[in-house]
Amino acid sequence: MRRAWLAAALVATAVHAQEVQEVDFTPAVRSTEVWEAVSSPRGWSQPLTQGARLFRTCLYPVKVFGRSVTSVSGCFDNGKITSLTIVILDSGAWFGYVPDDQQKAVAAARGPEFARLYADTSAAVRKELDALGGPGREITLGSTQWLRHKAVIYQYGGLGARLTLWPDQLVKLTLFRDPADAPQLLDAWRRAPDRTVQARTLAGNVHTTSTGDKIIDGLPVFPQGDRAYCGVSALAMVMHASGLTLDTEDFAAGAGIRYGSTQKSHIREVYEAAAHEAGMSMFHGTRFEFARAQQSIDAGFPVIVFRRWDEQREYVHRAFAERFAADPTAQLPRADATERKTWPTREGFMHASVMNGYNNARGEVIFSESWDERARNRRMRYEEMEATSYLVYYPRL
Amino acid sequence: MKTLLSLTLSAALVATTWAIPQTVNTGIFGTAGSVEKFAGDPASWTPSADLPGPWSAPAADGTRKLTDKAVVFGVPAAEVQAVKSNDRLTSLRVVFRDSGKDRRTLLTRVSQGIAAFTGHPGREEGHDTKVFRYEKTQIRATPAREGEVIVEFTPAP
Repeated sequence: MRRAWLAAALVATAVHAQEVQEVDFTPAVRSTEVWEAVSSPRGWSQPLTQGARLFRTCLYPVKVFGRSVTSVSGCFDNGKITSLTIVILDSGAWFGYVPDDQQKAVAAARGPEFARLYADTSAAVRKELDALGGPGREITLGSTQWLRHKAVIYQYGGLGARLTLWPDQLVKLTLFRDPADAPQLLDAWRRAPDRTVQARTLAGNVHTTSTGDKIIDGLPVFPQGDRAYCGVSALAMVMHASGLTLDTEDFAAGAGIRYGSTQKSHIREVYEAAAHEAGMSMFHGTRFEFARAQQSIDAGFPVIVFRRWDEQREYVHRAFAERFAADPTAQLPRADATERKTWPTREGFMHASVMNGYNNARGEVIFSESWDERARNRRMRYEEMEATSYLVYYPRL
Repeated sequence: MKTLLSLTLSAALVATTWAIPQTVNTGIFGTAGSVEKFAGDPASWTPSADLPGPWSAPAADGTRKLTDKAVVFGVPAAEVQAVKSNDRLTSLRVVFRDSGKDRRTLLTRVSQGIAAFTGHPGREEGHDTKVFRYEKTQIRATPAREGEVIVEFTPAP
C-alpha cells in the first residue's frame, strides 16, 4: 500500500508539474522495501549518457521526517537504486550565491539564524534515526585534514545509513542498499585490492562514437544550483566517477565555503585531499595540455579545467553541441585571429568545467558543466581551452 | 622558477572569486536560444501559427514588439520585432546594441552565435552583411547604425 502511494506521489507530481507538491521520502529512509517504487524513472533526471551505473537527481521537491530537504540524488546500478543521498540542510543552498565582498555582512546578519537551524535540524534528524535503528555508531570518515569529518552509522530496514554532520554547515543522509558501504568512503569496486582491475574498470568506461568522439560513459552531473559550488561540484562529479562517495556539499564544507561565498576557501587543498582519500594522484598545472588530457580520458579519468568563462561563449559551445548532435558535418569556426578575439580573457568569470571526452580529428574538447543534463557534452576547440584555462587537474590512479 | 611563479599566481587567482552560480533563465523568450529556435521552426512561418510571448499591440504596419527581455544567439537583444502580413509571420527582426563594455565587435559576437546555432559559417553578402541558413530559415546579420547590429529571420527563398 505504502509502495503504491509513493509511486503515485512521484507520478502525480510529474503530471501536474505546475502544482508541484513535495514528495515524502520518509518511507524510503525507513526501509529499502519501497526503493523499487521510488526508482520510477519519471521522478528522476534522465542522464544523457550510458553505463551500468548512473547517477540521477530527483526532479521534485522532497520532504523527509516532515522537513523540506535541499536535494535528493540516487545511484542506480542497472536501473536499481543502490544508494540515495539526501541533503537535508546545506549552508550553500540556504544562503544562496553570495559575492565575496558581501560575505562578512551576510554572515553577521544571517549566520546566527543558520547556526540555530543547523543545531535544530541535526538534533531532530539524529533523533529520528536513533528511533529507527537505535543509537548510531559515531565514526570519523576521511584521513586528511581538509576532509576528515564525523558521521553516524545506522543499520535498519535492510539498509545502511550514514548521517554526515559538518558543524554549522551540512546535514546529509546517505542510504546504502549494502550496509557495508555506509562506513566506507570508497565504493566496493575501489576497495578491491587489485588496482589493475580498478584501472581496467575505469578504462572500460571509455567508448568511441561513430563520429570519432572518445567519451567517458556514466559521468555524473551534479547540479550546483544557485551556489558558489562549481569547483566542488566538478570535483564531486569526477570523484564519484572514480569511486569516492563524497559529495559536492562535503567538499564545500571541507573547503570552508561558508555563508554562500568562496572567500578564503581552500578549494585547492580540498582537491589534493580528495585525491588522497580516493587513493589517486591529482597532477595539476596552469596550462591545459590537450595530449595529456587525452591520456587521462583514455584511462577513464575526466579532467577538471578551471577557465575563464563568459555567457556568450557558453552559448556558442551549447548551441554548437546541439547542432552537432543533429548534423555531424557541422564545424566550429577555426581558431583564427578573429575567433580568438572573442574568447574570454582575464576579465571573464572564473569557472570549473569537467572535460569528459575529445575528438582528436576535429580538434575538439567535450566537456560538461555542474548544472544539469542539458549541460552535458558541450564542445569547444582545444585551442580555446588552452587559451582560457588557468588551472587544470588530471586525476590518475 | 617560471612554473613556480605561475603556480603562485594561479593560487592567488583561485583565492579570489572563482565560482559562478548556476544561471537559469525563465520566460517564454527569456530562455536563451528560444527566439532562434522558434524562428528556425518551419511551423512558425505557416499561416495562423501562434506567436508565443508577450507582444505589444500591432502597429499600423503590422509590426509588434516583444515586451519581454530576450537573449538571442547568446547576446542580449535590445529589441525583437515580429512582422505579420495576412495572418502570417513574414519576418522576425532582432536589434542588438553594443553596451560599450566589450572589446569584441558586436557583429563578430552575434555572427559567432549564429554560426554555432546553424553549425556552418555564413556567407558574406555585400559590405559586412552575413547570411546564414538554418533548415528553411534565412538569417541575415547586418551592421546598422554605430554600435548596432540587426538580425533578420525570414523564410528561406
